[in-house]
Amino acid sequence: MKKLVIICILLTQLINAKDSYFYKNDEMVVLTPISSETRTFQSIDYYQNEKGILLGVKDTLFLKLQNNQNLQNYLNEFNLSMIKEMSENLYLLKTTDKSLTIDIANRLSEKEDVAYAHPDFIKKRVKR
Amino acid sequence: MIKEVICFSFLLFLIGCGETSSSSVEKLTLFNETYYEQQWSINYDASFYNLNSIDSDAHIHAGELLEGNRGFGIKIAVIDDGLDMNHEDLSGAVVESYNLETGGTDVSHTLTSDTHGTAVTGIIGARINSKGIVGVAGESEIIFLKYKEMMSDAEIIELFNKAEAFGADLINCSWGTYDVSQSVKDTIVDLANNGRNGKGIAIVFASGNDDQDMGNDESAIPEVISVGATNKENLRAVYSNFGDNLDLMAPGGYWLGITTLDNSANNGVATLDANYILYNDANGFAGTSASAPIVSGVIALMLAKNPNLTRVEIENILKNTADKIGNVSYENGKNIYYGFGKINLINIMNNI
Repeated sequence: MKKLVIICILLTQLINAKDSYFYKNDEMVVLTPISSETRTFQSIDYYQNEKGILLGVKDTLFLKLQNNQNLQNYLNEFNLSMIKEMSENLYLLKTTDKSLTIDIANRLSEKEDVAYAHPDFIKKRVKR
Repeated sequence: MIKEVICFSFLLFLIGCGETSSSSVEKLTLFNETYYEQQWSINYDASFYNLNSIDSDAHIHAGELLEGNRGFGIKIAVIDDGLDMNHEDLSGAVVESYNLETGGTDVSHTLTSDTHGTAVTGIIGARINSKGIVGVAGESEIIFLKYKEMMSDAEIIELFNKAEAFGADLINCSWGTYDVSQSVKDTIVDLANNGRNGKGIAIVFASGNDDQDMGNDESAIPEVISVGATNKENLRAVYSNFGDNLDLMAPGGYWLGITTLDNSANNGVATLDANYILYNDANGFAGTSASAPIVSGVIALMLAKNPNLTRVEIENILKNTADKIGNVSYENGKNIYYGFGKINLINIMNNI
């Protein structure tokens, strides 16, 4: 019985686990969440990439398709809504919650007809 | 007949006098700028150079070219932190403006300590009006786009698209994120290749001031013109970022700063003159942020001379005419710390 409970807990954690990476040029970029105490805005989750660069993630992501044949399917599959077509086959989309953005971008990146997908990252512009 | 010859000769003499007189007046306009002598990046003033032990080649070899080449009518978009639109040396310079935060046209600096955008814009487009300094392209038209320090990829794409919609011939970016997203990269590449009715918009980025490889920075995008900084010794400034995609060098200063405009509306940062950041100000302006607008100004002069130049042709001319400074080897014309070398305006204009 005890074993069953432990297995159930582990399975639940696995199902609810969020990706701690995203794809960039087909390579995984590891993201480290920044503790909630240092977050300024509730609507944005902050991460650091491997180079220590701060990346904000909200409920929007970019999707670049090779063609728009499956666009509607993907909108339905991931419960996404269209914000804007930025350029040919490049779309700015909205997720239902910011906590889903990285996972959805990653799942989209794995589709064959997706050129790339990534969160609409918030970054600091550094004056030089 | 003799009478007619004498009259004709006298007429020619008068015309000659007129040209001389006009030319002198033109010349005076540059030299009437209060701080022109200390604009060491564009002006070789022997006494100023000697006084400050500046290498005699540390400037961009503008010579007297800025007298007759001022980038008239060329639209330069500057994406930066704000602008003192009422600065005396920018009177009439700004033709379009957009504030990302408000959606309005007021692009004034948010904080009293902000001055970066005004300083950058001054290097490009300060007017020739006997006030303070002269911009490299003193008759260009400025499109100012005020960004937010923390900005999403979608927002920066919006600013680049605004620049194009306003008709920008080139875009100056004296900033970077060190980590450009693919969507932003695609937008920049598209504008560089297809903007300006297919001729391509020249997009200039500062390489950064961290003495490190440019990595995945915006400045490292091959279609971007990336600019590193030189100092008064005419060598790479020690802070200037480098890499395989570094294109050019231009003066950025170090201990000796680049004289430019201060944000006079909110007191700004200058300690010696309320309206200007002088070369020796305690809060001087130096860095690749100063180098990039020098190159942007030069591109405006190129486009004013030949508006049909494509972005690729502009890049090739800049690279092929650059001075191979630094006592380093250049493989296939290039060095990772110096790019293709330091811009030389006389060479550039002679090749258009």
